[in-house]
Amino acid sequence: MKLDRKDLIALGLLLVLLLVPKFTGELPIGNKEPADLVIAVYESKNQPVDEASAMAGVTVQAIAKAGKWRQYDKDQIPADKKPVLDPVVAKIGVPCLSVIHKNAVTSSAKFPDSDAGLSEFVRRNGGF
Amino acid sequence: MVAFTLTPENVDRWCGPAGVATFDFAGHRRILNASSFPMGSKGIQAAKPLADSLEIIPEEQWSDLISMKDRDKSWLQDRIDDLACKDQDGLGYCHGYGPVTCLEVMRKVAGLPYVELSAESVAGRVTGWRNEGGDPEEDLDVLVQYGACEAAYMDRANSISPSRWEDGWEQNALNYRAAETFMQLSGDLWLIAGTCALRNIVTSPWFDWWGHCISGSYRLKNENGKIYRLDRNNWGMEWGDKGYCWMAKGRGRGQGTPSGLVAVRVATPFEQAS
Repeated sequence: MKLDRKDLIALGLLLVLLLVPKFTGELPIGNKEPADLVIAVYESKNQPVDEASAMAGVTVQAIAKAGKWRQYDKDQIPADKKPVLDPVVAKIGVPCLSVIHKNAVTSSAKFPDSDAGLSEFVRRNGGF
Repeated sequence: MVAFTLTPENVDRWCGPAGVATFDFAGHRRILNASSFPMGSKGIQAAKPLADSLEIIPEEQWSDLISMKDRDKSWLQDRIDDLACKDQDGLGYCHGYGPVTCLEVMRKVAGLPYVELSAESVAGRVTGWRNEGGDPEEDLDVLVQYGACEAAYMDRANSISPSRWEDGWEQNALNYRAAETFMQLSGDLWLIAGTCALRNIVTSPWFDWWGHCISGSYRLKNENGKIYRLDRNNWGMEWGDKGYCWMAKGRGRGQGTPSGLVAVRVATPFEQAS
């Protein structure tokens, strides 16, 4: 079978879609819609000052004021959120951060270690 | 920034914006003298010792961390700036108001919708619904096992007559429990309460000199080399600065080294289906 130029471009895009998430742990194309929820899952027994501070920083305060912030201990994830959050915790570990659109995780990552990192991650994934 | 610092002189005043005493609190002190705390709890002991569960941050490191958290606006107080101060209004249930405030704060931190909780539903179980002091450790145990119901279930504010409350309050309370708690009765409690502030863990300290239990560890500040901790009373928004006060190290009258404290780090994440 002979591949033409369009086929090669399509194949290249497919490879990018498949491979990039393996490197970054994030979906390559951010959601353009504002998030419905931004959820942190953390390990309460291991809560260093940096992490605790990022979880209380101005970005989280702004998301919380919009009613879109949730923060759960990994052993206290509500039953209705476990199906979407458990796979993230299994893959990334804790602490982690997930952006939720329409009851699905559209992006997730290791919890950023600074307020600026957290702000950038949320912005890239549609904001709130 | 909170402008009210607790001193031996202003401890029992209810201060309006101008710091003028507007209420005599003798009745409260009569109920809550230090001997009314039956230390040596016979409680359920669900809580773990804080000092065993927490990496203590030495006081020498506090100044740098205070600067960092000031810069990042990442103190507990920054997260709960719109949370109203609870008001026990002369009821002898400070031992319940402190821990229940902790639960409200940690729910707020978790992003859960604000629900005013009844401290009476916790402290009443501890005292057998009598208006008297108690051991905050036992209130914490109640908070873990039975929870605090929504204040809306009570027939009126500060009611201790559950027979008049709306049916179902006990079932409702099971939705609002503390999932991970700590207590500390010995050791360097100034150091521990300050570490909690730096790690954003709300505490409920009590003070023998005051015979009183409040909530605390909302913030630290360094003023000319002297460290102060920001705590919050349960005497409504008119006391101190919207209920808040700065406390310095020491065990004397008006000073902030706790005689004991309990803490809540995780709240059960209940929210009403919308």
